[in-house]
Amino acid sequence: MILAVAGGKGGVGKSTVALNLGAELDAVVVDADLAMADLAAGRGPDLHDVLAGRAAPLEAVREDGPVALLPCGRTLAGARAADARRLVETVEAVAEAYGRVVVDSPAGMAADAGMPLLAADAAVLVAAPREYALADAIRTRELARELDAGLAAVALNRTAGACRITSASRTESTDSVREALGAPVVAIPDDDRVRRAQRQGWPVSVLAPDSTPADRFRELAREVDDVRQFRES
Amino acid sequence: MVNLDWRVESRAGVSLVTLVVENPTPTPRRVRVANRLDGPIRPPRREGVPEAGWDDGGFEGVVAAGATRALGYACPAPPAEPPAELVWTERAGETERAGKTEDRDGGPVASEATPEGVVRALGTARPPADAVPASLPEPRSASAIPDAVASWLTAVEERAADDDGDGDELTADDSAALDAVAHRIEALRSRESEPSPADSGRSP
Repeated sequence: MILAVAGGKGGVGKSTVALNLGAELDAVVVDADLAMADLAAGRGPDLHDVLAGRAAPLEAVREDGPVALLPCGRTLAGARAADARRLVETVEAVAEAYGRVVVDSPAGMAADAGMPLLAADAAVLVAAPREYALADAIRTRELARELDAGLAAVALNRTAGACRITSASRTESTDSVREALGAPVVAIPDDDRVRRAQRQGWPVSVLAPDSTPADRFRELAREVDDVRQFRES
Repeated sequence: MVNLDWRVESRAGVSLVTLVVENPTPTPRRVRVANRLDGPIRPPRREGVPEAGWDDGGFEGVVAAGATRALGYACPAPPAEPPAELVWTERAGETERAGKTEDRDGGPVASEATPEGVVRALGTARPPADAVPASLPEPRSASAIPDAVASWLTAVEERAADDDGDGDELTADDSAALDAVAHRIEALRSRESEPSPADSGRSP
């Protein structure tokens, strides 16, 4: 199964959700943010090389970290040389070899954001609890529908929100997101451990397996799995 | 039956072919139009990707019932008459829509769910060339230096790096040799940089 983590807006925590979801689903995480890669890369071929035809998809998958990763290069020249159209066949090749793939999508609504949704069977939207981020999530949901990637769940990422809100307005915003996007909403609480783990390229479950954020990512993975089982049955 | 109306004009060695496919029948028909000019097809493009229906040989697509469809392409070949022909037509399937290129509801809609369709509908997000820092000149490969010179330089480098006082550091002879070599290289380079047409293609 191929799952796209999308969200329209930049800086809402798509890479964080992708990495943690990849860990929970035991999937390969593909960092498809061609111009602004977020997930740590090491040496060796990366997604730029694959999309430019210089490396095979499976060559670029790293299995040495806590989550298997197909990283993306960080140069603009590499992003320019990469052919985004190849992303679909690349992700499909990884899915065939590994089973599950989580694609971390770039921000925006251009073709590089559409390609992961085209490749995916389902999408997880990441929204920050701010109005304009929600508007972008709604536009991304429309695009996901057009490209046949059903919305599996919404991750409401408060880690990226960075604003203190009362518990009453928290419930209210979760409800309004559910209403606006029409999908199960899982709120990821603001927790420094998530950020710390992400900086190391780890899911939070490595650093704090019993923390609330780790619980929430497990919940998010269950929502995604439910959709998958429904589709397969 | 389906009719093909054509026009061809030539500009700067390129033939510009204008076609109108007319379908007077009461059913939508799928048509195949082939290029007859002696050159490759340059199809219309959107966001750098050929429009839907075009391939190396020509165009294939659906013309709605009682409608016409305008097509055009360029071909770097002398004009000929006719420039294109209808290869075949067949009744189009129920689900096939006559080709539409504009967005539905004005939104970013992929008219077909293929990577090419997504690029056409959403636009490529490649960083522009101006945004990419100019590439640095390739470091000159070691093989460009003659072997004898390279091995001597390596030996001197090793001696220069060795300062533990065990007798194999850089000697006065080495310094003199380096100066002499630098001097000769300098002299050669200044001669090479003089304007001489024979030298213009040579690298220093």
